[in-house]
Amino acid sequence: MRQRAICLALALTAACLTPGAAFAHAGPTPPVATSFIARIASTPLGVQARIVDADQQLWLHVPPTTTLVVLGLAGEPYLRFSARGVEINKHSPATYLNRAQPATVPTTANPREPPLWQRIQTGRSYRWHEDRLHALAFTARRPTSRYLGRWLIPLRINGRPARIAGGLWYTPPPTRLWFWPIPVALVCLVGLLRLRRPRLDAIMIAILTLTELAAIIATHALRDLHGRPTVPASQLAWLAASSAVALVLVLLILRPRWRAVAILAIAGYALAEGLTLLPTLYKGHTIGALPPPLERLTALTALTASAGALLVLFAGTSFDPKGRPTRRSLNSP
Amino acid sequence: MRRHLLAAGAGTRAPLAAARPVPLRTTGRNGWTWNALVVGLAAVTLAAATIAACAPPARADGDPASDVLYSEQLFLPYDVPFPPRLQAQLRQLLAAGARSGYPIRVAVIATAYDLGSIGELWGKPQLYARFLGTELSLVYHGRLLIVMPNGFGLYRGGNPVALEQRSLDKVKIAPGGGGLARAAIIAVRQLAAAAGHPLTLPQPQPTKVPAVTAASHTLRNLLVIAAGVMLMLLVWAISLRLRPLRRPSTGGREGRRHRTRSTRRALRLPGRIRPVWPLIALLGTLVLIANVAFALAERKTSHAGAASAHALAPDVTWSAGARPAAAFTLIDQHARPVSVPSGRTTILTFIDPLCRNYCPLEARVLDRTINQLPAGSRPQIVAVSVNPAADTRANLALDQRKWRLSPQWRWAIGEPTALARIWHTYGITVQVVPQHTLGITIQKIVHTEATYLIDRHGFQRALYLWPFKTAAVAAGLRQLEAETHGG
Repeated sequence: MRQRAICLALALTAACLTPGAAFAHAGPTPPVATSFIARIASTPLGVQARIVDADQQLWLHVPPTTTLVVLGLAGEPYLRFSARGVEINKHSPATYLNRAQPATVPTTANPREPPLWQRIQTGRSYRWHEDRLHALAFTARRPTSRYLGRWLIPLRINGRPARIAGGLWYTPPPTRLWFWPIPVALVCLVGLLRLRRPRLDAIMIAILTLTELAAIIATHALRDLHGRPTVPASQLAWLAASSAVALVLVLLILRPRWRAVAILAIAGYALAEGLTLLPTLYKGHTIGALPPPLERLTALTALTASAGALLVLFAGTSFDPKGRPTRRSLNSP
Repeated sequence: MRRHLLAAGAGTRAPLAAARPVPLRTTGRNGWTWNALVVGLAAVTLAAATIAACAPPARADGDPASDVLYSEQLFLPYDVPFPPRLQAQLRQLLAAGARSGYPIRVAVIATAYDLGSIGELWGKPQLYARFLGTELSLVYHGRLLIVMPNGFGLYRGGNPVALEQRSLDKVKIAPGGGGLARAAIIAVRQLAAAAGHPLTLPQPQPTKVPAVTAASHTLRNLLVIAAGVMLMLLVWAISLRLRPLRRPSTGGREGRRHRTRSTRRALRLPGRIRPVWPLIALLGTLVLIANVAFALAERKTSHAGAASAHALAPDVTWSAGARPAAAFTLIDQHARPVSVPSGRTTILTFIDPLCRNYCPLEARVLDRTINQLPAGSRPQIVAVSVNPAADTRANLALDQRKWRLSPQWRWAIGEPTALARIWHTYGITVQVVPQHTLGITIQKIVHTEATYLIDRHGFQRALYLWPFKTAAVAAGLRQLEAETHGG
């Protein structure tokens, strides 16, 4: 039991080391799914703008000769792209409000005050959480229409007024049948577990563990290969590190002494990955490198296989010193 | 918008939470001390000011068709009745065109009202086609057909369309929604045929199409559920076959046979049925029932759409006598003075007369709210204009008619500076964004959509940020009414 507790702790620790925590600067975790999509309709000449994470963030790239000021919620200067890099106005309430997790606006933040610029980036590109993109997300929508309305980000380019405009669309949720395979698989597993056949348990564990590994690799691929708006080297490095962890776990499975630890660690890891991807099963638009059905299938596989493996491990199977699964009675006290 | 505020409004979250418990009741109850009261009121006032000042503005658009045609193939005005079968036929025709390689988007403009703030393009279908096509050009580059009572307009990404335009000259447009829809159908078919994509007229099935789709979805769901149930039953049947639920106490095959026989005898079961099968059948039936219920629930929720659950409580409330409403006097649509406070309960809102999306919805919600109340106790609605350039008597009268506004609805218009002062006082952000397309300038108005309840003593009592529900405002009004009668 102690060994199992250690394994579970290891698994959860491994699961916590996911890109969600790594890329926390944009918010608590990057979303994996959403019901709303913002699209850009018009951008000033020379300025590159992209929507990141469906309707969450705006990315801008400004040419070196241009000074661009993004205006805040009250029309005050909020962000400035200039030769000095990207600066944020500490006197703008948007600096504190326009975030995934808003902060309290200090009393010094008065939009009527002259801007107090603070450099946040040296380059010419920057992306930030922009509430105005999804401001209309919860307004009334005609039942037949998926279009919610327009959004507008006012700018000043070299002192002249400009804007980035676009629209917001609603994506209906997928069918809840995506959840159906989970109880089916678990009910079937319970049916097979009660037979108390070590060989069958071993086959089940092997299949579930392989499925979990495939799901873990797929979840990392779909998140790490997704550009925000590009795929930086850090994400590729993270994918490589995750793959290395998966490889180590595979190697541990081959060693009888560590087999139980590895199986439990993989199950915990896959469960955490599945829970991270859970929103893909009930939100209409998925955010990742794979097509939506594949992302949902990945989430479903991770959840089902890990829950099944944990069920098999904790409900019945134990391992002998040679790493072979042995049976304990389901009905034993 | 409220959800957005809660999600986005930093300073708003904590003060808002503090503000919510403040009920609509008279000051001095609950044994509040003056210090607590003053601090509480200050917090609430600060919260309201922050919320209203930082509320993300709602967009009021000048060209309603562009909003719809960004994502859909057909724009039909909301307020003109179109025969459902013709609507369905037109939609099916456009879908068929897209499938057969002739995508086209159609905007039917029945009145100048449907053009929003670009009323000057009324009666100029070709110019409007160019205007709308340019507006959509970053999203859509294909053919665009405008149908107005006086003719057609055509646009195809700046390419010459004179030849196609001439082919429509002989199409007659009858008056009314039906006439416009029929003309649109004929025009689309003619254009498609001329381009080598003859389209057959679809059989009008206005109501059957969604029903069939829903039924097929339900069937698919049931099949998937049934497959899952079958799999579970199969696995459990094998499992129970290999290891029955109860082992015979006497052990061995003989004892099991004896027990099974006696159970059969006791339960009067036919010889071939084993006791496990009724259990499996029962389990299967239960699972099946649960999943049929699940499938039906799924169907119901899919029809519910995105009607998100909005809280019925106002965004902010104030106790009686806590926050006086800023006084102003403007003139209404009949050039009579309109004042706040007025000595009676007032709903104060901020509306763009040229808006064709959210403002009309908000106006209808407010109108429905007061229509729920007894005739004698209906409050007045004061709608302060956020678009001084649109405050013409014709526009206001048109809105009064199109939005079916009640007699209690009073516009409040005046000099831009006076209006700006009122917006500022009530924390309403108004941005005017001029847009130049084809030499035509549209003033797009972006403004905070907020509604205040002001009691008859002239104090602000509640603030609702769009979207809000009729029931929410009605509850606030009833509370005020109860206070009035309760003294």
